[in-house]
Amino acid sequence: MPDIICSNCGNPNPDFLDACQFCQSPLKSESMLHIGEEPTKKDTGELEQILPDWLKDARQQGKAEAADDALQSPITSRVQKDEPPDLLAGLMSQADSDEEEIPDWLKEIQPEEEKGATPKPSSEAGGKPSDFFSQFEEQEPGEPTREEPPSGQKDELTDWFSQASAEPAAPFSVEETGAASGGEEWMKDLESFNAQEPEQPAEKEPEDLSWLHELEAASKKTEETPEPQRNAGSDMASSSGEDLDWLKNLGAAPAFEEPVPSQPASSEEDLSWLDQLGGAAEPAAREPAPEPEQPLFSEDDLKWLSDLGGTEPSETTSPAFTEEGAQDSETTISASKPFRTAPLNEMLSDEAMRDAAPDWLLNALEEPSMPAPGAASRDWFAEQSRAQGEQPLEKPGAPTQEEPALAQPAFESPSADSSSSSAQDLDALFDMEMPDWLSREPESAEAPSAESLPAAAPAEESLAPVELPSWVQAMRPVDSAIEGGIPGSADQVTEREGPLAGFSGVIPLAPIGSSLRPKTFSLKLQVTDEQQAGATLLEQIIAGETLARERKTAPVVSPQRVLRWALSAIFLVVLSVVIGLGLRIMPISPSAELSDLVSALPDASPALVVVDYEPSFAGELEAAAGPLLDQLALARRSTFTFISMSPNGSALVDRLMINTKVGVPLAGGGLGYQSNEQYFNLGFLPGGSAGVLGFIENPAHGFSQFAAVVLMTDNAETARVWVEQLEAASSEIAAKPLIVVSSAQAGPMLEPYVASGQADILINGLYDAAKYELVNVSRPGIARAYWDAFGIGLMMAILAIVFGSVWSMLTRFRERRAEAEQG
Amino acid sequence: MVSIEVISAFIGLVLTLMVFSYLIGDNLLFRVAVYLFIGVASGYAAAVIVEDVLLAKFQSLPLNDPAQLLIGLIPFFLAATLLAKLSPRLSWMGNFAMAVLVGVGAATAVGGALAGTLIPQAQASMEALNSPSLFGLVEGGVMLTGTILTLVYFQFGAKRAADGSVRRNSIFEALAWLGRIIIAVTFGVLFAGVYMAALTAMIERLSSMFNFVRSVLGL
Repeated sequence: MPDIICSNCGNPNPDFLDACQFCQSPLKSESMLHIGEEPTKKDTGELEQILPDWLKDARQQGKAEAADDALQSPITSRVQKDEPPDLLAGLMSQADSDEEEIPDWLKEIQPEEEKGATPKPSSEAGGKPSDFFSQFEEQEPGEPTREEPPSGQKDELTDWFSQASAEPAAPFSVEETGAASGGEEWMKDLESFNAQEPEQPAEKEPEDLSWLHELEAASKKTEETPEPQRNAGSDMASSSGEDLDWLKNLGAAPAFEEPVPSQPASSEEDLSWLDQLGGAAEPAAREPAPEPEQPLFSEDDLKWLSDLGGTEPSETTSPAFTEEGAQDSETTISASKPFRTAPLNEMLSDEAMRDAAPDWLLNALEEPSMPAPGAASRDWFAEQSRAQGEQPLEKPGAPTQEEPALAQPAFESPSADSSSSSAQDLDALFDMEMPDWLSREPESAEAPSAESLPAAAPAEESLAPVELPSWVQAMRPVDSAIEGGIPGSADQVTEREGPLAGFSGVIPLAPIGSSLRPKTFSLKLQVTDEQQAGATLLEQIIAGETLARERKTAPVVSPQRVLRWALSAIFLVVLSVVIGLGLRIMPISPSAELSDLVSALPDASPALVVVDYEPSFAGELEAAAGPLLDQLALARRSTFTFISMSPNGSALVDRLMINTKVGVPLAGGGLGYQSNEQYFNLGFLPGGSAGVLGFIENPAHGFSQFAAVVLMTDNAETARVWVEQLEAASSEIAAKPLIVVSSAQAGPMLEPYVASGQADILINGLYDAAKYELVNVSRPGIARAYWDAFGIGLMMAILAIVFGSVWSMLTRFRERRAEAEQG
Repeated sequence: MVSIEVISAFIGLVLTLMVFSYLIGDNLLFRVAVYLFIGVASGYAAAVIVEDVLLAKFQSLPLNDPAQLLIGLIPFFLAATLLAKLSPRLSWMGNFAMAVLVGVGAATAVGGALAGTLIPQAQASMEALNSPSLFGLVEGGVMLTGTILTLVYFQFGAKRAADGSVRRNSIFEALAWLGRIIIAVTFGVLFAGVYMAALTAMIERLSSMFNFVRSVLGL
């Protein structure tokens, strides 16, 4: 077995390794297809020319005998229903979708039905298969006879293999493909082999495709080697006698003397691929076949299998290659062997990168991502070889009861409970991400191409770049997939092992996701000292609001209260004395203006008296309106019509007539006006300004008959409403005399209406009433009775204001003086 | 036999003293007098409204004239819809009546304000300066000056000085100070009027008390 000397450490390494097992330096890095390299579109149809002769013959034979085989097996149709989907058919569909040219050899492998009108090629040499598969073809399915190899190199493995070819029996499904070619004939045997292990689990395992390549290498070898022993009744040895040679070598493997019932194949995927090539039916649907034989191993495979029986294979040895086919197989394996993951331990030794790496990648780094090619199978075989002495061998065709679930001939993982669980996990991971056909495709594509490669080329040079199909290349990650965050191609790391071998830049050097990950910000609030101080102040204010404040206990007797009591007492005493004594010492200046106006009114003219004041102002307004009503009643004999915009106003009418002595009988010193005779109380007038306007404009009320309007109000707004509505009604109504008797508090606000001429006379409180009363011969005398008290009360108020102001000034002066003395 | 006038006068005297008790401070007597006054006033107002408005309007309905009767019932219907405002779900029923009240009242007030206040007062202000007498001119001048100074006082426009302080123009500041005096005088006059009204009411109450005492004593 050739070894590759590592240029870095100088240690020999198996040629199937891409990286040195000692220093992990790349051994054959040029064989990879790197990221950034422009993939060359390869027409796989070109590979048909470089197909080995044995494969060409097998294909032709299969085509020629397809129809005959279909008639020979009546159960084919039944099995065909259960035929599993051809994975290569899916590959073709993929190729069709990509408009990739399908190679002819692949088209020919397709079932006859799919080919349609494709002419079936005739087999060479008179229709007889020229290869060694013809020996299986001649055997009738279902014959349990075991052929003994004519050579004296009969061994257990040879017997087993012969038995495998002799016991396709019922599960043969050559007719499934319609026109099985000669090349598919031997695959039918494989199908039978698969069918013999229906209980094997369908667990997918890393493929050991080396035996398949060895098949190719062996076929090439047979062209040069003399014809080996021929099988009885078979003329295939004429063209492929070398196959028997490796079959002879197969017999050298002591570990396969007897077929193992549940022994899985060394490369489960290879068998499945072969099943699909042959259009095999689903093995699970087949009848229990004779006990499975070992698959068709190349002589190299068998050679290392033979080693299993003797010595334990070491890591540095390659059991799958013969020296004869070393050059060819080396090239083939270098391109088609299973990949191993790159030494990510080196790249992710950095803590930062390790932290950023996903868990699955870290887990994958704990163990070798994938054992060495054939290692798993070797382990399995080793276990099987050890178990052979313990487990009784079952007869071929008898299904094992221990493994009833072996529904597929796929290679069961021999190390399901082995120590390489981590590697299996990673393999399973990649199995999930990479379909089987994807990992198998390079093999199928490269296997025939290996023959075309120069056999004499050096080991490094013979490792031709991987020629991936275009659809695989299209799936390859490119640099543009990662924008910005990916370093240049010079900084990209090319994966040397594992499923990603040959791809560069797949795993970025930078932490994964670092360029796309948003910048992290601290969750801690960044505040300045000023902001912190403001927040503290706000907290104190809020906290202060929640605290219960102590109630200020005011002293029972405060200076202000004493002063108020003192002033109240002074006013009460003084005013009471003045009123009690009936003093009339205060002078009054008469005003004849209102008297002249009233004198101008016609006799017995009705007057409208609007009573719009509150009872609290009744004393003031009665005193103010007394002289007016007395003059109108006494001098003009006017009738009064009372109306009020306040509900309480109507109640004040009678009080007004009594207190002004207009309604007091004549015997009582009054004028003898009686209700509904000399005065009328219309009561409450609702509606505000609208009611006033309606009252003025309603002819039913006879507003025009009133000679004058007397407005008694304590509110400037009420007076304004009457003034405005009278002014807005009509010029005739506006021309009527308007006499306003107001409280002293509303008088200043009504002065403008008097100044503008809208109101004729304004009697503002007790002051104007006293002057008017003086002109009206002091009738009814109310104003005059209040006048002295009123005057004294005003003077007392003035004195109190002046005294308080002086006291305040003195107090302030003393405070300033004290402050000046204190400095 | 005690007449109703004497009883009412006595009640008035007692209530007056109860109200005067407020000079000592807020006490029960004052509150009882106030509450009694408010209750009596409200009750009397309600009675007046029912009697003078509702019953009076209802009694005036022309029962013999269906058309007039229907028209006369419209105010009652609208008044009933206003009662629906008490219920949130039925408040929409009173929207129309409320709209009529507000719309009519606003239109009436605006019309009256224009015709009775704005235009006449504007004319009177202008005519004040057209007085043939010197006193009239002085009076008009004072009125115009007071108006201008008052308006200037309410002018708060200012500029930022060089030192950063915000101040009004010095001229406007002086005029505003004068306008503040005018406003203070106006408020003083109004306060004086309130004081005179209250003083008159107090005198009337004291006078009524003395009259009751005199009548009781036969003096």
